Amino acid sequence: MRPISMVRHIWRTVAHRRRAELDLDEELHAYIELLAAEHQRAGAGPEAARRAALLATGGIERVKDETRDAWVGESISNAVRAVRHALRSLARSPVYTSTAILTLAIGIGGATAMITIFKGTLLRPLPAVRAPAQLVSVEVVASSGALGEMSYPDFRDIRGETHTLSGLTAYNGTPMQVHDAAGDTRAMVNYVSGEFFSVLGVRAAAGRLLAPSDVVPRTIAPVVVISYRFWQQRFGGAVSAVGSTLDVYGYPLTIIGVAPKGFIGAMNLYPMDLWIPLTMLQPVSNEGDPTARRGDGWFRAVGRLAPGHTVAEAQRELSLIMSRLAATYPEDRGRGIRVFAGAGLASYDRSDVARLPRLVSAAVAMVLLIACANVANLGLVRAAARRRELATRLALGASRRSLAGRLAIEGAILALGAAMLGVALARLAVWRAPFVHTIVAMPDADLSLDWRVVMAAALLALGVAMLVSLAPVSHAMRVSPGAVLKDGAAGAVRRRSRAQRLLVAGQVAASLVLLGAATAVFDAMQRMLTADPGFDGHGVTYAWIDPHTARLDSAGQLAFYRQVLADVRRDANVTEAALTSTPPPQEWSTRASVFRAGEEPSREQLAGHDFDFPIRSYIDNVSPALFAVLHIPLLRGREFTSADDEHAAHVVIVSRRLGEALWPGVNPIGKLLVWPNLSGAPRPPLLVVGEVADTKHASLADAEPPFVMYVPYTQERPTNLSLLVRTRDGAPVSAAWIRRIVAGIAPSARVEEPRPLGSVIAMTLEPQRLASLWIGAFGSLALVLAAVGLYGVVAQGVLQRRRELAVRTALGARPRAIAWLVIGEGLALGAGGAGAGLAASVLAMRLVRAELEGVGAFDARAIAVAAALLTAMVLLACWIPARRAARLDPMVALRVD
Amino acid sequence: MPQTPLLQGTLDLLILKALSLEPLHGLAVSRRVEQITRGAYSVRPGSLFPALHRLEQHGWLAASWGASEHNRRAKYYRLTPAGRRQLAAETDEWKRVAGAMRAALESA
Repeated sequence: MRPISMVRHIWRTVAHRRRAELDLDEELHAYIELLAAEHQRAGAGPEAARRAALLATGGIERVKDETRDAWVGESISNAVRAVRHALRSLARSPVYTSTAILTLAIGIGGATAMITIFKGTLLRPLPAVRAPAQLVSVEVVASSGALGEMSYPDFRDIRGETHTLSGLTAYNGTPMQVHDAAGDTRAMVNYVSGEFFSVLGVRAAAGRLLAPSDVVPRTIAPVVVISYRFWQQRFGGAVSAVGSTLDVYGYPLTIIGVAPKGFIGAMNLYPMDLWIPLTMLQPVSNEGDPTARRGDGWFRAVGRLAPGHTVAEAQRELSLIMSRLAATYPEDRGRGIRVFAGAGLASYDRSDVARLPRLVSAAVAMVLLIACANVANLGLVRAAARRRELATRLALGASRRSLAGRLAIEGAILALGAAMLGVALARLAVWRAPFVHTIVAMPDADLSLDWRVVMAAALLALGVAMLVSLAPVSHAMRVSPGAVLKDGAAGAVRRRSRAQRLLVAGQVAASLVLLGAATAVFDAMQRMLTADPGFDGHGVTYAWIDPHTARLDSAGQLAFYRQVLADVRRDANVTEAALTSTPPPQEWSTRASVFRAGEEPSREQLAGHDFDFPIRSYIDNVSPALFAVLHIPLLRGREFTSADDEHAAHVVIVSRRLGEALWPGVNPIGKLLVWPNLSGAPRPPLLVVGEVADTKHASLADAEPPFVMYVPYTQERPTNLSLLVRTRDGAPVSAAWIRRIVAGIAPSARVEEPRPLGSVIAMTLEPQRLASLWIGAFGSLALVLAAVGLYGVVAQGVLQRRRELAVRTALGARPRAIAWLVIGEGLALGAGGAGAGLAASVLAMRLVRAELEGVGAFDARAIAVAAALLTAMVLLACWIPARRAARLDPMVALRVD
Repeated sequence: MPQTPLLQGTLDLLILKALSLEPLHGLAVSRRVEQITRGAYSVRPGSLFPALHRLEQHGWLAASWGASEHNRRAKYYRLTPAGRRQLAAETDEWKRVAGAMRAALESA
């Protein structure tokens, strides 16, 4: 057949169906009339002739059927008809259809959005680098088993010896104060080894990138590479930026080039703005040259696999190199090395930053599960309702296969609808950037939907929808149509309702778990917000002050700080002011191992093993009056005074727990504490002069206050200090006011925007706040779904027991008694589910607690709140069918069958 | 009348042959086939109409509505040029097969 004629005929078969059918009908009737005319001519009467003609034709419908089978495109037409039929059938039960589609879509959409966000952020390959699949991260394993950063000497040795890696580079990053023609800003600065850009395989957008020859002592013409974004924002993309000077941390650096667009460095969670040679790191550290000591891990390392080598081979080779180093250098004793495929995330990021997404994903998975159970349940309800319809069709001769086909098409339509709506929901979810940033803070994430994820979600939907749609057929195939038809609507289907009850109870249980978890997280957050952190941040403003840019010597810096304090205190609204290196809560503060005097290890024992000793304390460099500003109670001894200056004996104030850990049961005042210096001149023992109450210094979410020791800022040179100001009226002080004071003392010193301490404290609880928000949202969703499921089962129960209930009413049962009969059934289901949910909650809480600090092991109140919510929902779900049952007119109900 | 089962594919050839003289409606096609096969074959409507529709879709027949001998509107089929070529080709093929068969069966 010629293609054009074929298309024309398919068109006619499918699109002009009516016309084709009419033609066929008329053609056959003409045949019969002509045949009858023949018979009449042969002498038969008109009636007899017509009967004979019909008989000879042998059933006009059968002939039609056989003729249609010859039509091209008939199978397509059949499919179109089947789809139309399925659509009509679904449209006849709009509640079932819309609930099923919406439920599946929410599950699919949520899961797709979460996976997309994961893939686009935490799991994405580093952007704008060459062949990211060849990159590996290298981390050092301390003798304690903890993964960590690498020292520069170790890095240099490994880089020199490896053959499985074609290149290895060391880097790390920190926020720094930057000054250019446009003014001050804070930028993320990456200090990197010379091969950083060549290992990552990037080319300059302008100028050139860092090369090994740029890694020279900082006194010789230091250089910097800026990010494309920084270039656009600060220089408007001007070519003249290359060659100009940028002041980083008080050092003028020459911009030699611009990194390519989209390049963020090697840390996926922290996009970098500037890249400087790691030799520039020295001024940032107050402990000498950090690249000199083998014991101190300062760097992350990223390597590129040499052609033909695998991660396992690199691991073997680097382990060998490390064991040689460990045998040679005491600092490397007990150290190992780990090579991970891929770059961008350190193991720290993986464990810590991924916590919230992990929790949210668990909630999403649960909602998806509940959604599937819910749809399955709806399907069972519908199946029961359709038993008679299907039985009738079977009795009229429809084949079970064609029946199954019809139902399968309904399932496919449901799945298609759910998948489309789900993808739209997911799209909406990830399109709203702020929504994403509540899960992971990443400004330039790639959040395009992955079609493999979409396909997987659609397949899942298809599977569930098929299962649900075909459930009635499997039943119909087992039972003879006659039995079903004779049975009538009142015949309860016990076996089916057991499966349904289990599903509903499961949903109730799952939503109880989610709600319980959400409430527990919320409670924990409230507790942390209202709990006493050991200090009072209300009415206190803090501002970071950086005199480095003023190029003051050591004495000059002390004089600067003293003057700032004196000038600030002069204001009538200021009740107290103090300096601290770590305004609470401050997670990135210095910690060190401390010892009782006389029990400290030798410097050799300590080198590289600082982390292995039991008492590690936060170190806070403070000015006098810090405890007064923050209202931290002094328990014993005295506070610092202005007499504790650089010339006086070295003193220390310990937190209660630190004192107790070092000198259990003994008054620590007058004892000597050793805080070993890792390099340079040994630090003399510190005399304990005071003991203060514990504070949650690092984060309000900490279960226990950490060890903290306070030393006078005059006796230890900190890198920079923050100013804390408590005002009489509690109002925050203005940036302009602080800037004016600082500018009056050292015009080139920098001041960061002051912030109320209270808002910063609340920020440390952000993960808890978001987790409770997210889990709460999904928990409510789960609850609504469970209520819908429960409603379906109870309502169907009423339908099935209609006759029984009608008889009861006819025999004089009060409507209220009938309603309670129905509600009782629902409550029993709810209670069963709640019992299972309670047990599951205990396990779930354990998971949440492992992921989020401050959450109680078994939060009885949380469970009680969740259970109360659930009971309310159960009652609501039963209320409508119960009312309907109570209003049942026995005459009508009994007449239905 | 004696019924001989139709060989596969012969019905199409018979219909093309039946229509080679003039356009006919369905019943007339059936009668013409009986006539040219001397009553050996009578085509039942369950085979006739699927075959007519199939041949029409192949483009070998064209159909149009016309008035029958009793002024009844009926669908008339006629051979298209492609149908005529097909008839010739199938006739040749049939003769070749029939000749070969006869030769095979009559050889001692």
